[in-house]
Amino acid sequence: MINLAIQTAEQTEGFAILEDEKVLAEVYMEEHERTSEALGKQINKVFKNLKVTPDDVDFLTLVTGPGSFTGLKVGAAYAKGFAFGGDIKIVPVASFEVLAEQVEQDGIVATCLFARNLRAYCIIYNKSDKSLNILQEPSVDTIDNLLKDYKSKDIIIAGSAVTEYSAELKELGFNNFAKENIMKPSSAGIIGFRKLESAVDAFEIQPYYLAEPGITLKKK
Amino acid sequence: MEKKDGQKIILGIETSCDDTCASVVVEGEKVLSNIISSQIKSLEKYGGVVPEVAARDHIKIIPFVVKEALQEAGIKQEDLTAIAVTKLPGLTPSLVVGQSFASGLAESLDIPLLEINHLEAHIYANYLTRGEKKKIEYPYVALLVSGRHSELWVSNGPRDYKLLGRTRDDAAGEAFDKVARMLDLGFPGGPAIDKLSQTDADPEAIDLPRPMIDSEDYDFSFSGLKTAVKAEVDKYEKGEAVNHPILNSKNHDPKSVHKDLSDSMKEFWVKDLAASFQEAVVDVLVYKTIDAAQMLGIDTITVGGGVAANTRLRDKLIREAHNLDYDVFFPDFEFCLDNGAMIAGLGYHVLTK
Repeated sequence: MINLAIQTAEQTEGFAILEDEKVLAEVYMEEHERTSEALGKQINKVFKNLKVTPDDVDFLTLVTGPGSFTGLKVGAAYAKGFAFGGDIKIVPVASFEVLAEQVEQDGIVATCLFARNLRAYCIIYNKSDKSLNILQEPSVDTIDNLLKDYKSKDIIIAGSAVTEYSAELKELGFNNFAKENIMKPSSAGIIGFRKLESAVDAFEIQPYYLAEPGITLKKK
Repeated sequence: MEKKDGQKIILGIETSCDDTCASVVVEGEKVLSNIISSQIKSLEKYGGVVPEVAARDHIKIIPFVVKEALQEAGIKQEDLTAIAVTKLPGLTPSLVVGQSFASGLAESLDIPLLEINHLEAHIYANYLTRGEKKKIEYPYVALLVSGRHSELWVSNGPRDYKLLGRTRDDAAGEAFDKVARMLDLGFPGGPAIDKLSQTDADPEAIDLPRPMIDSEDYDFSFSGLKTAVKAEVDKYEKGEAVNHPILNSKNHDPKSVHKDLSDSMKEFWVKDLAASFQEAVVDVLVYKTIDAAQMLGIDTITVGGGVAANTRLRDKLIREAHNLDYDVFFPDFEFCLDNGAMIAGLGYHVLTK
């Protein structure tokens, strides 16, 4: 089955085209490119190179978030438009799942993504034989608060917070970090293929923001 | 609708601000559907547009809006020639939703994606029709007035525009929104003030400035006018004498007209203040537009943008222009506010140029 997997939740944004679990192409956007303009053009180009037509695509995989608010909307809107036009489904995959999938060893894994205002999006899993059990529910907070219950434990930290909050993490005593902290679209695509039964249509799929817009919080 | 050979059918998508819009237009002018999903209800509590909130709403509903536009037009996806979408200007979080959806849809249908300038589309909206084709002669002076823009353009031919002037601060529609907020009239302010002014309000009751009406250029400024209204509201709130011929007459003690004003008297004052503000805005827009046409020797005027729906602007500009034997064109009401039809209509000309 041909799968178009889109990851625009975080830099470096990109997409992959897979046939089942085999990666046919994987492309990352250039930093200077506006993803909303470049994504469609690049996908079109890669389809042509691979001699794949839009009709050949059986389903999409979308990294729904959390991550950059604008990035999430770009990816989700593109996926919605493509799925609407082709009457195909989209498998939603959380950013956390992609990062945890990329961690090679089993154990306690904290996937932490950079968020604004010195915060991070974080979930803590127990990863065992490719399955993920949630130990701490997803939330957005300072890195100190998010990891306070795991300070003296053997824990692997994955995600953009590893580079963004490197000094803070070391100061808190954490030093076991994942090798791969960029979300690869192909990793998302592989998860999507495995979770095909959870696919939804263009009307249902929504970005997973986790954090609300600042003004909404103030108004509440 | 049965597709005729060679006929270009374009789906237009517009999400530059808070309305999610989709429309199907044939050959650039004939509108088959025009779906506008307004976020007014969800934004009312903020007193205006919050970009991130608006964008999140767009993404929830855009497929529903597009589906409805196609259904109402009786068009199948495979009948579409192209998809047109607003590129600029607008709120970035909102714009990217429409652009990205349109991009994905165009890719999956393997048809062209046309990127459209929102301002040019508002000017173009005059050509849109559900019935008879409109004949608008070039050149014409175009007044573009909305919540974000107040500009005067001259057009010498299809897609040929030259900017004459623009607002130096607030847009006319923005001033309407801000004044409506000061007077607790709700959001959006333009329709609320227009409606109130159509009652027994006196548009000359309160003397307000007409900023830049005599300037030698075609620029506008509405910030000072808004501040003048604010000064009146401040006076009222402080219990000082308000600027009103009846409330401040000898029959009324100036110190008693505010705090002790009955609800009906306050309503009377608010109505007159709103109508006087609207009149000041309309005077400036009408005077400068007519002046531009006279100076350039052009006898056709078009108006576009949300404020083009203002009934006082329509009445006064038509009256003044007809006195000079000028032609004036306003879009049909449904094409004044942000809409997908103007995007699809202009998209036809981008495609065929």
